[in-house]
Amino acid sequence: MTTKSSKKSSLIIKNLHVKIEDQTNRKEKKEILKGLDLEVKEGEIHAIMGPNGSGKSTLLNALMGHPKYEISDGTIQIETDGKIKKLNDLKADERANLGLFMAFQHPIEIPGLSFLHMLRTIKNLKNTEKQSLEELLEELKTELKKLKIDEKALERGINEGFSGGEKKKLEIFQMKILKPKFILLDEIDSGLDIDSLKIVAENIKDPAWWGKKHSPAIIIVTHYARILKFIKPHKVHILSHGKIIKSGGKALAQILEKSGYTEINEE
Amino acid sequence: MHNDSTKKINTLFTNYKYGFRTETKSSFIIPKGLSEKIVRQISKIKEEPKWMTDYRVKAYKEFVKRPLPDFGPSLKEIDFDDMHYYIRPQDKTKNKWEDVPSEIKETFDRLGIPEHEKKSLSGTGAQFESEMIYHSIKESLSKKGVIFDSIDSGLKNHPEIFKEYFGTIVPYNDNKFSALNSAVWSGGSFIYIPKNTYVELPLQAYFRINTESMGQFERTLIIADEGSFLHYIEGCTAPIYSKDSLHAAVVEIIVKKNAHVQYTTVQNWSTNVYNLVTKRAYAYENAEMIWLDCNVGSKITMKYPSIYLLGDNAKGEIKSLAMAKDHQCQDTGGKIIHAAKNTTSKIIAKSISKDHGNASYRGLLKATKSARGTFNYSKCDALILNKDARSDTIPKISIDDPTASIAHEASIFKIDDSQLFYLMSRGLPQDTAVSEIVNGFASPIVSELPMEYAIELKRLLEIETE
Amino acid sequence: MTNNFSLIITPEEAKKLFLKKTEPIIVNLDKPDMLAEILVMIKGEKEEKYDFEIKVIHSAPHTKSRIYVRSILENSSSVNFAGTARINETADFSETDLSHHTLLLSENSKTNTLPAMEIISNTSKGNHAATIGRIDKEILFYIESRGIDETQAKKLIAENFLKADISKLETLKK
Repeated sequence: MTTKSSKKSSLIIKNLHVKIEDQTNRKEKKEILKGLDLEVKEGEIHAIMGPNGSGKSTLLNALMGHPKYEISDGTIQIETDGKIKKLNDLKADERANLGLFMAFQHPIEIPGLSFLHMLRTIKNLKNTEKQSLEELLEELKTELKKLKIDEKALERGINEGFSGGEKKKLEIFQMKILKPKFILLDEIDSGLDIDSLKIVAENIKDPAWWGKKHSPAIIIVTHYARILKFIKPHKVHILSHGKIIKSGGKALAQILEKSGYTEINEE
Repeated sequence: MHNDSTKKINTLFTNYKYGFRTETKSSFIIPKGLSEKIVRQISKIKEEPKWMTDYRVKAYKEFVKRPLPDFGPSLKEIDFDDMHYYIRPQDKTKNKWEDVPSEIKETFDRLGIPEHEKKSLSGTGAQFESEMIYHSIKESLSKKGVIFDSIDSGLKNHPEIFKEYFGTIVPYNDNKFSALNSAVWSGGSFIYIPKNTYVELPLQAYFRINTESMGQFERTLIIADEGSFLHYIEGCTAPIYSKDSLHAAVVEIIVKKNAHVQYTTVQNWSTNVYNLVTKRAYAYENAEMIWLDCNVGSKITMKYPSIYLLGDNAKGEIKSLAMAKDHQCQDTGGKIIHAAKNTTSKIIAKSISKDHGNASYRGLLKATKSARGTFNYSKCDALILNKDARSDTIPKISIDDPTASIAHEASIFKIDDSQLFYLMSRGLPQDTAVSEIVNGFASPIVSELPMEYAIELKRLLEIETE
Repeated sequence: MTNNFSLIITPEEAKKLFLKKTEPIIVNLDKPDMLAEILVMIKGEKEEKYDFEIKVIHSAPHTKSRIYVRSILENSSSVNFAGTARINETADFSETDLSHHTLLLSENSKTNTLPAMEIISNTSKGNHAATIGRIDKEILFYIESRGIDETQAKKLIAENFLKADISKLETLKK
């Protein structure tokens, strides 16, 4: 389960243009991302902030391969050890197998299918480590405990009947089990109270699962700066009208909090 | 029974009697087609009492008179003249392994069915082991007074009970195919559970000896006396290859006061079979009847398990799962008639359609004028997997009880792109994600099956949804 | 933009139209983006027998239909309703919602309902529901506890019941 190289992998986004079907006029497609460039290495934490409609969720969904989002130009690549793998045409599961993970803003319900069953199926497919059912259950229960989620969640239908905040925690639970290299967090803080936010942040930063060579890359998409107090970013980017208009260090987030988006737009 | 295995068993158990095995009088094969003469011949070969012969003839006349049903899929292609309506056990020939359709052989492999079972499921081999199991179960049951016999033996060995109940729940003139079955029935189970007797082990049709257990015109009669408990299972998840293209079965069940019966069916006939079944139960005071019906095979299945709630406080449940792929038609559902006080019913139906399949729900919920305090909840959901697949939901509700409380809901779903994307983003390839969603959809029904069946059915659904 | 079909049948109109067997009401959604909404409210009295059929057929993509029938039955009145929502293979991404809710207010009413759905499309959605029942005792108690007598309370509940689907109609909002 160790990575092949000791060099850090990168997720490289070049001139990304993404279109989505126009809700009001289905014959046309609207361009949401209009040429976005970003490079994130393993171990780096990048925050993407911006007003509603700027394209934040679009970016993450397009990275993960959501079928509704069409990449009309540009590339998404993963570079490992000098080798480049282009993701544009890969399906979501192929991207997951390359180490991408997305924590959704509104995790969907799948009745009748339990978390236990889904995770077991994924583990069986990966085949990297032969785990008995007892070992798997141990692992799952340990992670649930760290997130303060009742064990019974394992048997319930995926996201069925859970509150918004619990669903967010369950996204992080799955992340801990799947151990990705590139983590995409879509407004993970929305719907979480302070205590849950702290637990979620702790679990994202939990060194125990970074027993790999490098800690994962994290792209946090957020509207508010609140979560950035718990997960301190190395870089902050501001997204507006489909492009990154400004990048800076974590101080940028504080400026944003004070002055809001309109001022920055006017700069 | 196949000739060579019959000889084997005869030499090992000289005193062992198979209830239904008939003596070979002279070698003579009943020709194809149906007529009053043939019906009488069948009755004669079976050495039946006169009342049964007369009953068969009356039923035959009704069959001829009746037109095909005016609802559901078309049955015009059935050639009633081009089939054998009765083949004596000793005249039945084995199917040839080469003739067994390749999809069936493939499904056997993918389900991991062991060699000897493949042979018996495809009718190409003997079913020796299950005969032994059946015999020992029969012995332990008879100590409790439980009768678990073939239907032909039921008539011979327990004529009074048999005559009291036979044809009273599903009369010969109920529909065209109950008339046909009543004329040419052969093989099936006869079960009697005495008062206050709890049968722990689910009784399985599979235990009984093969040739009759998967017959074309099976007839089953179950009488659960007051306070008794029974779970009966029929069929199996592995596909059963049958050369006979028409299966018209009848199941009659009487659930007396305070008794509980569950009848579970897992049907996976090969896709040349027309499966037209009439299944009905009468539930009396405080009784409980549950139909758990899973239909995955056959070319066309028309089956609407019914429960007549005739005694106060009786309860009925119908849980059904139907999967139709590739030009299959599962026209299934259920009927519940509330005709007493404070009766309760629940219907949960799940159907899955794929390719050019049509899995539809056809139901009738009725409360008569004399019913009071009727309570029903029904939920019928359909999942349509791809273009060209179809599903209809036709729930007829007719309530003459002014104190009734009825709630029926139905939804037709497609696979949600967001659900698919969610699972794929976790690393599940598309095919696996689809079959996981299908299994999740079917799980309220599948989880009610005994474990081995549930596991196998899940696996079968996975294979079928690829 | 596109033509929508909206039909609301009040209890008075229902008495004129449905007390004798009439031709089924058939709505064809044959242009993309069409919306059809039908609301029928029935107040069954004396020995009235309501008998009617509504059929909606979707044959173009992105079409929506809503058929809502509400009936309150007093004395020896009865309702016999057959509704069919059909979505053809040419009607991708369509939706249908069909329901018939009946409130029983006497000892002699009869309800026959057949809300049927026929769907040949794997990109469409359909829901239907049918309920039959008497006034919920909890609701009656709540209203009575506010100082309203039983007869008035039942009248209030029944009126409210009949109108309950009005807020679901999109065509009314525009």
